[in-house]
Amino acid sequence: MADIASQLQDHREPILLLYLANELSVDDRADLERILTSDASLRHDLESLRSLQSEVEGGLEDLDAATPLRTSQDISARRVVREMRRLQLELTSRAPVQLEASSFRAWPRWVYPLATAAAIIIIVLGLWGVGIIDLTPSLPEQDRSHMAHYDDDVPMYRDQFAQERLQRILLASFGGEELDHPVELDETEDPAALQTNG
Amino acid sequence: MPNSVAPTDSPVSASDESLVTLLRGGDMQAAEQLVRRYREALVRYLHRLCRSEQLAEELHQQTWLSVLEHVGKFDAAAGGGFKAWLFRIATNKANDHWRSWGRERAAKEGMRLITENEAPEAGHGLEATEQQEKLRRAIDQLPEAQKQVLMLRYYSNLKFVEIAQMLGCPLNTALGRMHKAMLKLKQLMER
Repeated sequence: MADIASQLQDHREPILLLYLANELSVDDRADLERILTSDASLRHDLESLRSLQSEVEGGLEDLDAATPLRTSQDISARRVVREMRRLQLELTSRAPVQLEASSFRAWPRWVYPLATAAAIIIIVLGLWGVGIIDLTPSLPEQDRSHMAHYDDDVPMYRDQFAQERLQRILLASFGGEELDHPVELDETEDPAALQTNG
Repeated sequence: MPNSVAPTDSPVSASDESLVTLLRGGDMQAAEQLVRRYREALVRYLHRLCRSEQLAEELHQQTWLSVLEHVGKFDAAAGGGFKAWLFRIATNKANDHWRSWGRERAAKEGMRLITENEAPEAGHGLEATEQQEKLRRAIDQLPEAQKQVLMLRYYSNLKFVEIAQMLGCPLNTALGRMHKAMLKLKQLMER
């Protein structure tokens, strides 16, 4: 009761409009009817509003009755439905294209990285097979100490050119082959590369 | 409420919701039933909003094409059901039209004059009385927001709470607009 009474202070017409439209809750409606019995001013406002509403609605009703729509119901409805059929055809014709696209996308997601990896492996093996790439492992410097043939004490294995020169020097020193000129080192050449252990 | 142009049912009076279900399945006979059911109310409503019957028919068609396109998204459980959804689409179509019309107002000044001169009520059907002509002009002079509430209420017969929800305004605002619209119409009619 207090609720609808307080609302009437600020929103008199809205509440009365809802009452006339029968859109108040049962409780609010009962409360308002109770207030109406004792409040002559509110009753007056309600009747004014009812009269205004019926006047406007009656006016609109008369206006519509006096001005029939130019296009008949049949023609208008048929025209609209024809356009709807056309749109429906368009919408259904779009569907197969979407279906094709979606069937292409229907592969499981894990297939794509797997296929990519397989393709890379096949390409690398192919290139290795024809000798374009060398798959011999090149180990970092620190790892060479574990391998005898890469021992720094036998540097000849590092450089084929140095190895050949060393062979010639050894042969010459054992008298197997005379050097036709003294061994000269380049400024940039490491003398250690020409040293032998024996 | 008034609603002299309440939706006219076809002989087989299926509910809106069952027809919408059929429409979703592509049944165009269901579509036709719905179109016929709401045609009068919808065209009258759009006519009052945009002042031209020809334009109202065009917007009416656009409304139904939108219905067909988006019927899959329609939620029957949402407030107001199909009728509220339909009138919301129609209202949006009218608003879109006015927005674009506003942008091109200067360019389309000529069209406005044609629309006014078209005076749909004049020169066809029954002769409108002077009072009715006055009312038509008074309606045209109402602010858009007030006119929308009044016309929605009259032609759709939706509840005020549904109208407020549709227009995205508080219930009291919708009711206030309705009251002001009626007062203004009366005032303009008495001049």
